[in-house]
Amino acid sequence: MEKIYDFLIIGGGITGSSLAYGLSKECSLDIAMVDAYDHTYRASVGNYGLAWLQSKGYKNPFYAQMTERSIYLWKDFAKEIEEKSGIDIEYEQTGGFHFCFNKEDFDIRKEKMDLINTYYKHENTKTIMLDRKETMELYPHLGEEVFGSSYNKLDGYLSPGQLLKAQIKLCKEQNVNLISNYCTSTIKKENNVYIIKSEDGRILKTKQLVLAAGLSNKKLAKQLEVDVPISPEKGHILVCQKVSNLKLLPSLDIRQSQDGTILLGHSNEDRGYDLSIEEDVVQRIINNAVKILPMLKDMNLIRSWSSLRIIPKDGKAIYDTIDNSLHVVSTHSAITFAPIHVNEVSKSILSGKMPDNLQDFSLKRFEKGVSQ
Amino acid sequence: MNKIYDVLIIGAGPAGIMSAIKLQDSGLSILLLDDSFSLGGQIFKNVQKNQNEKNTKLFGPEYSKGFELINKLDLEKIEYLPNASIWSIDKESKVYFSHEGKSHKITANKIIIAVGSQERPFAIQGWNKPGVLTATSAQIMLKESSIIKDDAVFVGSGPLFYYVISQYIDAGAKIKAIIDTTSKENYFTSLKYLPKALKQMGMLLKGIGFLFKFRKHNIKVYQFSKNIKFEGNETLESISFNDKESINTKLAFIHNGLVPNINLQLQAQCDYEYNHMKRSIDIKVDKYKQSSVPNILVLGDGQSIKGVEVALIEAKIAATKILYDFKKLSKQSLNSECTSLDKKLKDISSIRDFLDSLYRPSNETVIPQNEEVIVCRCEEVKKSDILKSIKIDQKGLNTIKSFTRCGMGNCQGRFCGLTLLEIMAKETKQPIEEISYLNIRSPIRPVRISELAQLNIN
Amino acid sequence: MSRFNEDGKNISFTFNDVSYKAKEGDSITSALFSNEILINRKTYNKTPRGSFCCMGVCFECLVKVDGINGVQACKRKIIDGMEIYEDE
Repeated sequence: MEKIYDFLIIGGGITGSSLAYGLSKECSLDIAMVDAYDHTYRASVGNYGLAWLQSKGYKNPFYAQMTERSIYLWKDFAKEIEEKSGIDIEYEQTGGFHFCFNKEDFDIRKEKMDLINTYYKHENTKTIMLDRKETMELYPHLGEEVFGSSYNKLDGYLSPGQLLKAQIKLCKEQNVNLISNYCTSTIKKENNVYIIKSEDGRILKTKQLVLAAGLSNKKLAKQLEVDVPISPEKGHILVCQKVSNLKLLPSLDIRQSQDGTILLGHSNEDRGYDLSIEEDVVQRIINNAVKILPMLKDMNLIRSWSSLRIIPKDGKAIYDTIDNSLHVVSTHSAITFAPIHVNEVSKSILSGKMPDNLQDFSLKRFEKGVSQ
Repeated sequence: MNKIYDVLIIGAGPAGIMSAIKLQDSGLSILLLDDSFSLGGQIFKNVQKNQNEKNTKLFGPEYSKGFELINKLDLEKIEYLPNASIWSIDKESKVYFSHEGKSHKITANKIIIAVGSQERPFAIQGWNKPGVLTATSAQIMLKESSIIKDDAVFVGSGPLFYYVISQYIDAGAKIKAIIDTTSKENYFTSLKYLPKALKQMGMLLKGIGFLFKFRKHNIKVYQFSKNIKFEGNETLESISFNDKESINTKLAFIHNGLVPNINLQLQAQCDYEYNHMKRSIDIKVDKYKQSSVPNILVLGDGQSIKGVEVALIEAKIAATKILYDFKKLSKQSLNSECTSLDKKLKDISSIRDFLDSLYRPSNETVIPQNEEVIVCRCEEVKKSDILKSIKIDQKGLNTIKSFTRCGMGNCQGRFCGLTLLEIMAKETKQPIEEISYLNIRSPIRPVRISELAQLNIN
Repeated sequence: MSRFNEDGKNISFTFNDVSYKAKEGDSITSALFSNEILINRKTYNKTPRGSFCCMGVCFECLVKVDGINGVQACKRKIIDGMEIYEDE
């Protein structure tokens, strides 16, 4: 008799491994996690590496509140991961910025932040506006073109590569069966069992199926006649040299990892699945970064890459359970939400559905006749 | 300098120069870019400046052929830019390069990549210590600056290894010892290629001549050596090997064969394949040296290690094809010229299999034996770090790269990629030719941010 | 310092503020090597490193010249009076 897993997660990236790890903590059921090839689209390894609050959830209270919940869990989550895996995920909650270059930008930003601040449950979560002088106290090498900034002390960064490594290690240690180079090609449901088949013909069976396969969620869900309206959004990241005598606080534009490497980011392009590096985007990122931190001019760019974010049609996130057995998770904030995935979402999946406080993110909102 | 060229030739070694010579009378606009100071690449390095009696005698007639070749180049008909470092080729054939502190962007209808070879990574214990340099370094400093150092120990194997030692001796250096890592088994496995190799008797005799030269100068040669360790506090102080042997020295020149310098080709999306005999990643090309990218041709040692004579003929083949593509040549001419060039190619390739087999690097030298050995020099990643990560996730090289930072440093995997590949194949027991190599992305060498900011303001 | 051919103009340079001699036409790497200077930088973990490949692909030979770090010594010619420092 072929083995029938209790849970099978398709997708071994940050989201998949967060869920697999969370599930394995909660029960001693048979769990498997399948992951496709080394060279597939992998948002997890193209990630900029922020655990970020301040830009999230404009006109979307649920999103803002979910982010708030997650950020408060991050410190303990990082500690748990590090203690259990022995791997340092380099998490630092240093506070982070969004830079504004003139009064107009500053006022627009203030308005946005003020609105988001009204969504939060805790007074302590608020994002504040800093004038140039106040910004410079925290960011001494600031370029003269920066007018001011928004700042939130709960923002932070980590190493996405180390987080992924740690979560996968923990999954393995907690007896999750990790099956690599398994590219799912078909899924069907027979007699309350999901039967999945890989490109090279390997068959796996499971009672509960979790789709955490990034952009592939769409085509996989389609096989079960579920529509998951997600599409790719490209982002470029530029990696500069390591700088040892400098410690920068993070922003979406520039951040510095614990080993001193400087990363530049903050781009969104609508290019389908094309991953080519675009010269004008690179220039824009650089020109923007140099305005914020002029000393960058003398530093070297070591490499660049682009990666694809998973963006649901309305820009929010997707958390849904169909038939009490098919769980779909599609989000572009897998890093920020990792503590919630590992705890809330996994626990809830075990009981056969998504958490109540994530009902706003169910697929039902995309159905015809349902108002947004 | 223009914005658009008919043909861009990258690399002014023998293959690049020959391509330029064959194309220069066609009326096409040609740009020859090279990242060194002068024409000649590695093998003919500094040949124009070295045209005095002493140097020509030292470096031999083969080297002087380089001078004759360069003389055929007409710099009135083509544009030549030295000290130009290419850092990206994008999918629309826009080529980005850095020259004297500024970055430039040009387009070409056809691109010839003739960037030659690099040393194969030779990850043995202590190889990262100051005082340990490649054998190529010895040759470069000899040719460029007439520098020789006494009491160096040469460690490694391969035709170039013996060639460099021979030149070092001829230049008057005292060599302390040669620790030869050629594997004993290779002497047997290469025998089957010997009959064919006899067709190029001259080259064989030259090789044997080296061995006699070493004996004549009383240089101690330790054959079939293993377990090599470079020891010392901050810099090299001694080399231990074969478990009980040890030599004191402050300088070691190491060499474990050559491999194609592939980062540009991979960044440009050329398909590649693993070559079992040569233990290298080679670029896939058709009979005209056309790569999988429609207008990029890859020749010479930058495609696969075959030596200078083959590179020169490949350059002629590629140039002929380009002339045909630009309608400067009929189909008949293309076919007849390529047929005769193919025949020449065959004649001069007789010795190749024998040499590749005899000097095929052993597992011992290609896979670090000790877990403490640094695999990625730039990021100081040890074999033990890599093994730990493979244990967590065996998917592939890029996963290990993101877990350990191996391949993320300045050299972009040039000195660790192949080692990582061999380790991966051994540990996971996957067929090595099925493992995807590291993703190589632009820029293929560090570029100053200020150059990039100025790019469109030129 | 030993060269089999002593032709070429003699020049001076400094490394970490100590004066040395070299020949016109030397790369910075050759100039340092001929003076037995084997260390030109330290890694992020403070391990000393020296030139390795001499052909521009290993990035071990980095030095600081004219106030700019990360200059590849093997790709730059030495000039009379040049001030070179360990790469930071």
